Amino acid sequence: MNQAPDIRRLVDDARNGNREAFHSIYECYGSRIYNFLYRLLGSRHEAEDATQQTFLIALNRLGTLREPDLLESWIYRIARNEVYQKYRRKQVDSLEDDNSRPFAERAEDQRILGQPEKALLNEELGAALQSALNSLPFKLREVFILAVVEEMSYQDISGIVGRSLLSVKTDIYRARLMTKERLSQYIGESSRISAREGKA
Amino acid sequence: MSHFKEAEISAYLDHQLSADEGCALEAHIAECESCHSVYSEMRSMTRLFREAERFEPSPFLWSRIAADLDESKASAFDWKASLVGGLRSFGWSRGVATVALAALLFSGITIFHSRNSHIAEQAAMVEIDQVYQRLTAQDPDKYNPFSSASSSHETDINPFRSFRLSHTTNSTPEIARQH
Repeated sequence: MNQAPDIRRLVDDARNGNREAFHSIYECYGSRIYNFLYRLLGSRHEAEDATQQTFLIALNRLGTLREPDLLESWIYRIARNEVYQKYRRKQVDSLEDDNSRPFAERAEDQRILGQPEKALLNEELGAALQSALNSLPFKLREVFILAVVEEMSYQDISGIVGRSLLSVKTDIYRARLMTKERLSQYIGESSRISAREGKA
Repeated sequence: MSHFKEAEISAYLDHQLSADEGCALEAHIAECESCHSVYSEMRSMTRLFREAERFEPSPFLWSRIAADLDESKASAFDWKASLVGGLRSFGWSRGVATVALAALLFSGITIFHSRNSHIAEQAAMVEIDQVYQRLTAQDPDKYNPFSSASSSHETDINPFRSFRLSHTTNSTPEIARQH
């Protein structure tokens, strides 16, 4: 992650309408927010729209940010709320994802890029990981992604999703159990590889 | 031997246990086969996600955001956030900035209201002058406030004699001069 040298100064400049400061804030957090939203939504197109909306809201409401040091959590909270609103509007607990695209078609893209077998395995694993995430209820999925993929502290996650620390901790644990079941085939393989690497 | 809760093992993998708790857990799983098995499976699954590809947005996404920003700025101006933000840039806290804006607004309304009251008061005085001029034209003795004769009327209808209007000094000299 690109950490801004002085977030406070950046926020102040952005509040005063400095477009370069706006851009720097996007450069700092854009990729992380997009990856979070992609994992949450399972769709590149949806994630890009949500990222765009998140930054528009964030930059327009920057004047209401009380503590500039909390900018990162604040942007994550906006992103999470944007997705949550979308879920409420759609009244469904899972959205379309890239997995609707035929697996063979995506694998073909990888073969063209080289390393055909490894690419195929990576592609299959990537699809399995996203599928496991998509199967989680939204409440568990959001905290699991923030903790495991984005590696945020439980304290920050608690602030982002607006739930108690204990609730966050329990939900992450429950999500781990459910995900472990769905990925048991890959976990066994991963454990064997880790053991081999350990011996070597 | 008391086993660790699986939720604690999960928190350990996310680096959310204290140093003491982490050391205790590590010592335990080194000796407890069942806890080690749970730990090992959770760790493998966690690694799959942490080592997975991270996705990047389109390089054109910022251009789209910037274009939308221009559009939204042109169509709407959040004056409150802008003013509060402006005051905060001088080191004012959000609360103080909001109170200052509220005070400014209140002062503006008060000044506007008092100015309007003053104008209304002046208009009333002009109207009284005009009425009095008409009356004195009809019967100068009766309505002249400086005439001794007028004070001897049984039914005194001279408005300038009443206590209520005795302080209206602005218009009285003008009327007096006219006579």
